[in-house]
Amino acid sequence: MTKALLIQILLLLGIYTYGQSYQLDGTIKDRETNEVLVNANLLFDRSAEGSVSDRDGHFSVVLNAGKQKIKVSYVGYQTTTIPLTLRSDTSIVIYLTPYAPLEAVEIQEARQTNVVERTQMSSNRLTAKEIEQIPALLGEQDALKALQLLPGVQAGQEGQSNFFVRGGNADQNLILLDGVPLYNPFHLFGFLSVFNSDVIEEVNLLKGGFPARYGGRLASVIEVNTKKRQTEKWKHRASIGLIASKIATQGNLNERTSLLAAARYSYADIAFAPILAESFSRNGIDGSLRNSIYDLNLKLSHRVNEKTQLEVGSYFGRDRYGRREKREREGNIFENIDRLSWQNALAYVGWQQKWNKYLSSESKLYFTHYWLNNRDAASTDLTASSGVKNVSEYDLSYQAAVQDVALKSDFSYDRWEKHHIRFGGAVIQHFFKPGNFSQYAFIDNQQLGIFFEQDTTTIQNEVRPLETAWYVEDELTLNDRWSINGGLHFSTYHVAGKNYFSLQPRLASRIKLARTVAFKTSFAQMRQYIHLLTNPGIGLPTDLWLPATANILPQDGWQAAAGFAGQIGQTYEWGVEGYYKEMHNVLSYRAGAGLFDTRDWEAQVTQGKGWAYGTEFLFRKNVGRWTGWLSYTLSWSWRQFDDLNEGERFPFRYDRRHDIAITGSYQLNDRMRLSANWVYFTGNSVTLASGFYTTGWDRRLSGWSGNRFIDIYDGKNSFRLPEYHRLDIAFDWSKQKKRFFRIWSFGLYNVYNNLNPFYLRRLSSVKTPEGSVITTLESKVEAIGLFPIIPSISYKIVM
Amino acid sequence: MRKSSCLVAVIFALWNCNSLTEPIEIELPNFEKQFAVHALLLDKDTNLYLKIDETIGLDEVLLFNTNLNENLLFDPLIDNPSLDVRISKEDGNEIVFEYLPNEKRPDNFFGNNYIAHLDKPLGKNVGKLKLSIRGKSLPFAKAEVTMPTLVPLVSSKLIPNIGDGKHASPFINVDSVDGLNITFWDPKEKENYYELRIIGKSKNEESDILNFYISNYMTSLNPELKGGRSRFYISDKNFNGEEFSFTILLGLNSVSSESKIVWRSISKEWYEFYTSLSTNSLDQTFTEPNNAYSNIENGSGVFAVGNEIIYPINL
Repeated sequence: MTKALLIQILLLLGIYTYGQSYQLDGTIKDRETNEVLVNANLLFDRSAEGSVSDRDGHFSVVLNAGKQKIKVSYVGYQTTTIPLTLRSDTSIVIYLTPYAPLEAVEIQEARQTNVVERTQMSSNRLTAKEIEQIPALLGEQDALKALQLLPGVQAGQEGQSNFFVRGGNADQNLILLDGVPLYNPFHLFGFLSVFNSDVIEEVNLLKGGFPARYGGRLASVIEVNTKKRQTEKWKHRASIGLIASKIATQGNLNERTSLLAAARYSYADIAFAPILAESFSRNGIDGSLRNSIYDLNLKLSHRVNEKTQLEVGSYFGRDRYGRREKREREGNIFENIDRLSWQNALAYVGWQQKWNKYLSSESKLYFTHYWLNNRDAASTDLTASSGVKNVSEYDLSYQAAVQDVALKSDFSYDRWEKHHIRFGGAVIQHFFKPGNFSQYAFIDNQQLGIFFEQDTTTIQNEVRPLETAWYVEDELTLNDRWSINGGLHFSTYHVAGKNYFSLQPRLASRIKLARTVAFKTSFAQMRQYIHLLTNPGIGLPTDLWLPATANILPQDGWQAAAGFAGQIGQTYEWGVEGYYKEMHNVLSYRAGAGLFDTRDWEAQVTQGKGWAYGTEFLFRKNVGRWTGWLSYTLSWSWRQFDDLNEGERFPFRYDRRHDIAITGSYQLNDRMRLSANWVYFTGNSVTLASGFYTTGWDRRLSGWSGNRFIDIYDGKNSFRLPEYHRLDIAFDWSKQKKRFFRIWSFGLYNVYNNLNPFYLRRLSSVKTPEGSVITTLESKVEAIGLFPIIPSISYKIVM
Repeated sequence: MRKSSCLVAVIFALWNCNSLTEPIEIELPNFEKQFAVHALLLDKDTNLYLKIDETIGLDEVLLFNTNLNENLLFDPLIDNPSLDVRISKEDGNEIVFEYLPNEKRPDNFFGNNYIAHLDKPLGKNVGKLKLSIRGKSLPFAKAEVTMPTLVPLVSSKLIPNIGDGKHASPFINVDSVDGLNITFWDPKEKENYYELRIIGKSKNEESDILNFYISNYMTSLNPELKGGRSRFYISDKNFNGEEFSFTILLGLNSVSSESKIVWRSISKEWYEFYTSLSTNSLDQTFTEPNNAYSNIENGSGVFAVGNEIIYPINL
């Protein structure tokens, strides 16, 4: 019945199959390590179709009977062509030979790019090797910072890992670690991502043309996949760097079970200690700062039989920041304590099943959790100047959390030669704790005769929305030039008696104009039921994840894109794309509201719309002594809120007219590699007072006496910071030792020491000569850059 | 190994050269000067005062007379000898203002003031008023307001010892605080705005009773109420045409027999200006800054009017 229905649907689509055809299943592996290769490209010569290996290195296609040639390529591996005669359903394993590792000199073989073959547009992929080659701040490679070098991805503040895709907000990026969402993928106030480069296999970025299987965010999907199982030998890695040290191990526990485990510990506070000590001492402060970070990755894979695989994975990461300052002035004591900690935890159980030669599935039960705890305390002892007891204390604590428990299943059906059908669904139970405040105040002032003590807690109600998502998608090859990917994504959301529904059509098309050039178009409608309430300034872990509620609407958006993708010879690939997108019901703080506002969060926010458009260009070389890419983005991003900026549109803070990144790596010889990247982009849009006026009036009317200074803003985000540019270089020096392979890495961040603005500050100087009533008030605005030229060093061993 | 150690030491030394981090100069955009006006008129006023100044660019130097709170770089007697300030009334009459020299200003009046003397109070039913300011060096500025209808209180009750421990504030001991319940009927016809003050007498001088504002209580439970510590601004957005009742908590300076409630029906401009000030100059790291409200065309500041009625507090 089901089969008949499916056939009818296909006939309705005007698609039919003909001739004898067979199923070809296969797995692509590394010849030396037996590791499976994810996203390897396959090209079948008779049908001129392409395919890509999945997360287990597996592929499955239906081909016409007879002789075939399969061309298989993968970054960093020699391209292989395999002749095959198909007379029945067949299973094969294809081994690819890697280019020599880092120490090798000759890398001559070019790779066959699949950029022309794929229907998917607006996507980029970075392998672990590529990420490792990019020079990094303080020598700590970071997958999310590597993404910032790709077209259409705008970096946030300097040094931070946060990013904005095609003019979207930070909360519109769905970041998945092995398919499980992570709510706050940052350590160290955003300066480091939670992704340990030693466990990463690859990072896939999708910024438009979303197939129906993706949902829940408007701007992008970032899939961070950890290394796959099936290595024959145990592999160990260890490294010591300026801000972090790591260890990782991967191998088989037995024939069927493999393990990946890694740990990382950061001691950034020790590295920054000399600077802080100098700063404290200069200001007469007895102070200390602690900032400890760690994260753990664990993955256990077990092959039950040829058709069934199980996987258990987890991640746990935590930041703990503490700052204490104590100063004494004329016997009076002032003390401040700040504590901030946050943690991410996720765990999942995965089940992959091949039901028959056509149908396979991957199901996952997961849990993801993000929690933060903030405490600010201040105490003052003015007894020395008062002569009698005069002490006060103030202590503010703040907690917030978000948590998901979800079950999702994805099915893949490959019965027909020209179709690749996927369908599936997910049920997600969210738990949001938008923030609880505890305040303690104590005053014992015998001078004024005041004794006061109060302990108050303000609890914001937990919100528990239930979200479901369902999809069906078909990758359809119409002929050897034209393929389309069409589908529907349907989602529901129930919160506090209110129901939301959304049907989101998705369509993408690829037409090969020539053997090496394709024209691609796409349209995707998206909805997301969660919001991130961010501070207008720097991205902080204190940003709040909030749910759509009966009063706060979900975010809706759509995006259309068109562009060309091509390759030059066997070595280079290029792409140019234009896009337009709209975002509705994006969230922002109301004017004057902010993190430390203890009101009900719904009273602090307002919703508006955004729209963005632009053009992106990428030119990339993936193989040879030289590898790297050049990317350029020309873009605009706008916001409009009825309650902000007098209802007028204003540029998004990260509206970047021009954004250029050049990154490259050159293999000098069998032991040395030189890498560099240069970035340039238009400065951020910020709100800055351009002038002010004074107003003084009688107390009867104004509520104040004397003058009051009132700032004048030309408009929200109307001021552009100076343009940003920076050059980084890195040098890797490797050697095969008796028992291990070692790599010294040296880096220079911001080589030509161009200070880029991190934040603005306004300075006012008031001078009144003695005996005069004339005061001179002088104001100025200056930007502070935090990152001058910064060297780095790290030592790594691989066994 | 020895070479490596030296290298690490050199790198740390380089890294700790924080003298490399100098502030970056920012070029500010051109700033066009305009009139800055602060003009609040009450129905019962016979002497109308306007404060007129000019806006100042952020990178300009301001010379200030601290005794007079006067911007010395804007002296209309020198810079704008022909500064023409007037208000046109709905009945066609005009009120012409003249510069008020410092020596003639009443106590607590600061800045460059203009004054107009009326034979009788401005009045509750004066209707629409149009302000115009002409000067030589600054653009012609104008504004328009309408006198609101006076809405009296239905009742005001003092409730001793209202503290229930729920309301957080480091300023107030909530276990012994007094409450003041205010009730009024809001007319339905249009948007209405109100201002509430409580004044006490200290050293024979009337002043605001401070510290009767509790942020949690006022904003979470009564979002209509805005203000801070010495007065409330109330919009009828959420209770248009209905009776509205609320209770405020009184702080350390408790009321006395000489305390009074100053209740005003104010124009929208009055409400918008004062409620926008709290978000005007703020640290941008944690909050969204906002322009102060202005209804001055080609200028900054506010021209607003209100009706006032004063009630005693019955102890």
